[in-house]
Amino acid sequence: MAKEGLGLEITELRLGLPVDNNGERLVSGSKKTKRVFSEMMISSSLDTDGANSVVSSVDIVTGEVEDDSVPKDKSQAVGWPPVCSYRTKKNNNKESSKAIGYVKVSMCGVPYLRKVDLGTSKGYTHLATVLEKLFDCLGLGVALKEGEKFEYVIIYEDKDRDWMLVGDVPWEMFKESCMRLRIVKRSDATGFGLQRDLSLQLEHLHNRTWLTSTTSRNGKMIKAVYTQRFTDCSVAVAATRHVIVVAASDSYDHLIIRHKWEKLG
Amino acid sequence: MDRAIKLQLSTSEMNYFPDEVIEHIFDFIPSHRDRNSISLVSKSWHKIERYSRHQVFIGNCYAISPERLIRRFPCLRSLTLKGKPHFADFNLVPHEWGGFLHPWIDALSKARVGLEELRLKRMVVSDESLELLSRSFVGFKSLVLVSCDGFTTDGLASIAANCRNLRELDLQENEIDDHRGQWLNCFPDSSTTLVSLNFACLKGETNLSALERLVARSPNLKSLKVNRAVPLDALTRLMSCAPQLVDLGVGCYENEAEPESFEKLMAAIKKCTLLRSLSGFSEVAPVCLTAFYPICENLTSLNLSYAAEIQGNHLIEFVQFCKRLQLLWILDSIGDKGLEIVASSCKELQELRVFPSDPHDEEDNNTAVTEVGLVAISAGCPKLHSILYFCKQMTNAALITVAKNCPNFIRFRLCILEPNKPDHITSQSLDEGFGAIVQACKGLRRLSVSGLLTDKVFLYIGMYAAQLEMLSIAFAGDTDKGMLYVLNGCKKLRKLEIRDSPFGNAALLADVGKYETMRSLWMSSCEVTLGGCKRLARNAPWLNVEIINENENGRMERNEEDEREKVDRLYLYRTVVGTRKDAPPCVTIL
Repeated sequence: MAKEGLGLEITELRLGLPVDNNGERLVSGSKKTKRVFSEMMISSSLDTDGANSVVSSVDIVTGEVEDDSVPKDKSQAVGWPPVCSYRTKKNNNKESSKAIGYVKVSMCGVPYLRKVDLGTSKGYTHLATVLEKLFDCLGLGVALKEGEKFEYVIIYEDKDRDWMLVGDVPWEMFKESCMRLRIVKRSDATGFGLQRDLSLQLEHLHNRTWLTSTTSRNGKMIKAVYTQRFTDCSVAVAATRHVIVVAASDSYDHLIIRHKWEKLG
Repeated sequence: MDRAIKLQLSTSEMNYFPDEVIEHIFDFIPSHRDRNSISLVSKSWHKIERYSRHQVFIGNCYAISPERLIRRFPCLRSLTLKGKPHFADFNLVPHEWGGFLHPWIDALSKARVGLEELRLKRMVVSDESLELLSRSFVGFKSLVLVSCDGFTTDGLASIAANCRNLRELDLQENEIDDHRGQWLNCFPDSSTTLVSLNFACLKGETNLSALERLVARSPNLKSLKVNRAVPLDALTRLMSCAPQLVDLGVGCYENEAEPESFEKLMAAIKKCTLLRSLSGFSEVAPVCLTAFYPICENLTSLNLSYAAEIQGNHLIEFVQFCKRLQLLWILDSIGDKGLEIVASSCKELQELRVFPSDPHDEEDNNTAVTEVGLVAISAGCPKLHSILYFCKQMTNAALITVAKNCPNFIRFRLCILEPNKPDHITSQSLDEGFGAIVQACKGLRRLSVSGLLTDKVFLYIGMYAAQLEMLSIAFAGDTDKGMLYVLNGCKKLRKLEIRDSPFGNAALLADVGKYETMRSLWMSSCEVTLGGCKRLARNAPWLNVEIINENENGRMERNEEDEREKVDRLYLYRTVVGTRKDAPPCVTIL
């Protein structure tokens, strides 16, 4: 059981925001690690060794620190873009003033967004019918059920900011955790949530080890609380507020989530 | 200045005229800049001008004190005051920074000035101030509050109840604590003088019957902008009793309209043949926009920038029939295609603002506008002179084309959403594109730049933007030279605001006298240090040099007096009244 390359820090549990050697806060979200969904989709189809490179974004492990104030990249800097705070508030208020249950739906290739009310929706079949009407796209119901033959798949972003396949979890659980919906082409979504294999990369930054996520615009990183490199495989354990994941693979640079547990309570 | 010189030449003749005649001549010169020039001609003219000046504009409320204002212009009737710096709109200025109205109202009231009109921007207004205002000035006619805060609907109730001659109450984009009271009821039954009422920014319930009665007894009402609490059927009734409306802001109709209500609304709208300006539409079902088709050809002004629920195709369908449009504020959901249609339909367009519907690119959809839309507008709208354009991407070629198509720009504000973004085709900086704009648009007075920019763009701005008065810079430039090009070149510069750019002490201190010709300078997240600011303050006692600290608790707690410490936010402005006394702890005035 060889421990290679990482040093002793690996087995040490540490919490908190990433800092560099000078104790300065490290802003994660360099252009390297931040990848927009569409880029990720493209790279996933280009991935030659077949490993799924679609990843989920997860919160930074923290028991104490709120990271919302740290700008992850320039486009999230305070006061940017220069839109009046009155105008921004008015748009945000609109979101909260809508009944809980409304989620935005976007469809690839369609230049506008729609909204569906999950609160009044009765189940997956009903949802599929509503979506079919909204986007004039027959067959979404089939996509939900069979999952294999239709051109499009429906995915949703859950509270953890993971993108999941619609239909996997019980309806009530889906209603509660769904934040928004997307209808994407099956060909763009290979490996995406279909086998629940989510791939992460380990990055070493300033004496710490991080599992990097890419779907989120914020380029957030999750601290690996345990990593171990064995002769023929590597394992990493990481946790967020809601889930614990265990990732493993024969390649240290390309771990795949093997288990994911939702935290209760 | 030409006019003043000509007048000076004939002063000797003019002195044979009695003061009243000279005063009458001055009445024809309303522009406060010209009046400032006139007052410099001679002592007697200064005196005549003082007493005949009725309108005063104060661009920075800390540049002068209320007492000095009243001493100089005792016959003041209309006052415009601006408080917080522009970047306060983007949460860069602490809430308690300043800009309080009360000392002004207090002084004006004590001096028994015959105030009739008050226009405020970014000031902190309290209910007490509004109450004092309402009781102090019998002839008070007009209150316009833009981006102000600190008051509640109780303050509005005082205005409504006590200002017997009120003609205008215009509340634009203010943060008002809505106590859901009955402020509309406070307009006395005898109040029939209203010409303009705008309460679109109020968030709470509105007493609909009070509103309807008020509108019904106001035959001179030309402008009415209601808030989201006014539903469709109430709007129908309002419009039915005010068919003379010229300017309408609609509220919110959350539910889809019943066909009957919709018919009634359309009928009421058809009667409003004088309607020229339309706004509001937040949380509105798209179909309700169609109710306005009968009058859309008459519209000269259309503000749909809050209509986030109306999708691009509906917007386009409507706007393409507004052939007389001069002003259009819209969301980028209209798309490049929509802008092309605007360009071919709205030939009278003078001012365009395109706001981002998704500023942080969270939706990952493709409806934002690009350089294509901008070029189309510039090609199709020959009268365009003001533009504010938020977009995802830009190219030098597009900007060069725009400059060629529209050399008449007075205001050109371009915001590329991603900072430092280069020309997306050539990957070069956008220096040449903006350079073309300033070179072609000789009358340019206001400019905001964005995208990847080096010092070169500022060289161009300094060289060509001779009329430039206000410049906004973000995430741009390489060295102090950039800022120096601007300070040395733009002779008419009044306001300079810079954020996140590598300009430091050398640029700040090069020409201290320049700041006396300017209203203000803002620099945040730049390279200026505390030491540099201190030196500036020492060399220019007629400037207020304010340092706004990051931690709002104390005056520069850590690294106290470390002169190499970079200053987070610097705001300096010329003043004749020295350091202000009302600065909060987070502001240090050097």
